[in-house]
Amino acid sequence: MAGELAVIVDSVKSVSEVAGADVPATSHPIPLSNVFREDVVGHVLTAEQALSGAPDADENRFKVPAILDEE
Amino acid sequence: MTQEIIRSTAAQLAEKLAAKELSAVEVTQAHLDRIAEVDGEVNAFLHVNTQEALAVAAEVDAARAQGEELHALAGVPIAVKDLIVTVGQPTTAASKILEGWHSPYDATVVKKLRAAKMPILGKTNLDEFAMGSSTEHSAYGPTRNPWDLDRIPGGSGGGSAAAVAAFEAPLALGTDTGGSIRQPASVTGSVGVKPTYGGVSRYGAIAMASSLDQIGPVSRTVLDSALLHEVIGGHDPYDSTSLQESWTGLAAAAASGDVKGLRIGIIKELHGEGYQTGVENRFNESLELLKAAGAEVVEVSCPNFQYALGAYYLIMPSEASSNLAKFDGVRFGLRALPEDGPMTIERVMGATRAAGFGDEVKRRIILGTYALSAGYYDAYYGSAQKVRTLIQRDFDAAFAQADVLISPTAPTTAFKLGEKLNDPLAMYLNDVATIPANMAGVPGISIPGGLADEDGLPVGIQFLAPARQDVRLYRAAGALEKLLEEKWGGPLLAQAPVLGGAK
Repeated sequence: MAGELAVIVDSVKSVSEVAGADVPATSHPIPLSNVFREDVVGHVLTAEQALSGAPDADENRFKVPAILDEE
Repeated sequence: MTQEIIRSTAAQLAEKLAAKELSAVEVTQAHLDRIAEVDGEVNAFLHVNTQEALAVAAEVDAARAQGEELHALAGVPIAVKDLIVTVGQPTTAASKILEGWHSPYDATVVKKLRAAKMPILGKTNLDEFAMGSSTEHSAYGPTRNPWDLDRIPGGSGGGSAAAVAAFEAPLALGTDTGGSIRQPASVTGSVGVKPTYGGVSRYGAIAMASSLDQIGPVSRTVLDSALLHEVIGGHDPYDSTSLQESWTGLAAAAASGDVKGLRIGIIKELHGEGYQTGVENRFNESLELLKAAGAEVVEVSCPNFQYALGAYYLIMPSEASSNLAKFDGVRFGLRALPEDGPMTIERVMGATRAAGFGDEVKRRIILGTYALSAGYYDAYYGSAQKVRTLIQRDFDAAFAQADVLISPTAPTTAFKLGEKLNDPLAMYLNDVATIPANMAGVPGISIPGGLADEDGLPVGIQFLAPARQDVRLYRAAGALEKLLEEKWGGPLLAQAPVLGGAK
């Protein structure tokens, strides 16, 4: 895969040479301003629903492998 | 009877259902029978939803018998791309990492289909996480093009396009990040629409690149796409990028078929060199028909489109690498354990992602994390966002001269399965004409433009309109469809080879 990735990275290089410092960046295609709504509880998943696809769960919680190595 | 049902458009089925000439159960069963007959060859479906579809159809028939008022498309069946989550059916995104996963909630578009009482036939195949242009990157085997089973149906939405082209469904939902609705439509002789960004809720579409992704209609006619667009469009508080617009008048525009005085801009950079001769010929033929019908055809130049593909292959992987971080082997989907050594979360995540993701997904995650990494961010992701601004400016200038723009949808007709699988760059080039619309958020449609002289395979014609002006797409495409079908003496798909031994 390393060879393929090098070719792809090379092909997108021209992008960094096109736009000058005066061009603003666009992160979102349609400009929108933020809106607020009343702080009320909407539709939320039950714990059972949220855990329905989990590979491992215990007492209504996701069961996660050890975070830290023993060493 | 079955043949007559499956070859009807959604609009025709809706009429016959309303007139009680057909029952919803008959219509749904005919499509399920067709799937059973041909999908072994086509492989458009990853899951067939027989029981639920027939139950919904029976509900529609009962409600109609009671004289209840129903949605115009009630009882008209539909297929859903397996990137869109559904309660009661598995959602896999065509990935091993989500094999057998069931969503605990419905996507907003699926809720809308349920509200309209449209039976859902099943979930359609795609490139894994919608990453690809051929549906060969599905973990569950490629979909085949109904025009030639040795060829690709396009991608990522090859399953949805092949399903409608093979008469397995009159309608389907797709998602389009760089052309995944329009390019499959182009190579299968069907119709596909990418609405204005934010015009259709993305809630429940498994995200690839959030600033580019858009759900849209897949069908065999422009009118059918318009009817479906009116069902799924509209504001959704669950999608923070959803627009306030309501989408009406699309079907009326599709049916009007009038382009007199419409200014159509040919994008200089999106045809000619690099485009197959047969594609170019059909494109020019469409232009002549539109001119003869009274459209005013002008040439526009979008010089920065040449950088769109490069910028897309920085922005899309960047967003994808971030969106796919959630597949961690903890909350849903696959968990694979490392073969030896300590069972830490980091090593479990690594083993899970190594086992669960296919090569193209891994390639894009690596590219994305690279483009976003410290020291490279400005040169890659930052520059690509600036190119996005330049592309939007090109569109603004072009739309000052023209009401809609036109180009071939894809540079070539369908290629052979396996032909470009080992050359990612050649694969990426398929989307060169569709990507600019996603970069700018503008709507686009692909409709059949005829068959290429050299291989007899479908060619797609793309129209693009300014943001929020989806109605113009339907007006222009509806008109061209009518002109072409008059010339052909019927729809293009009537010329497709017969599948499954049907008479």
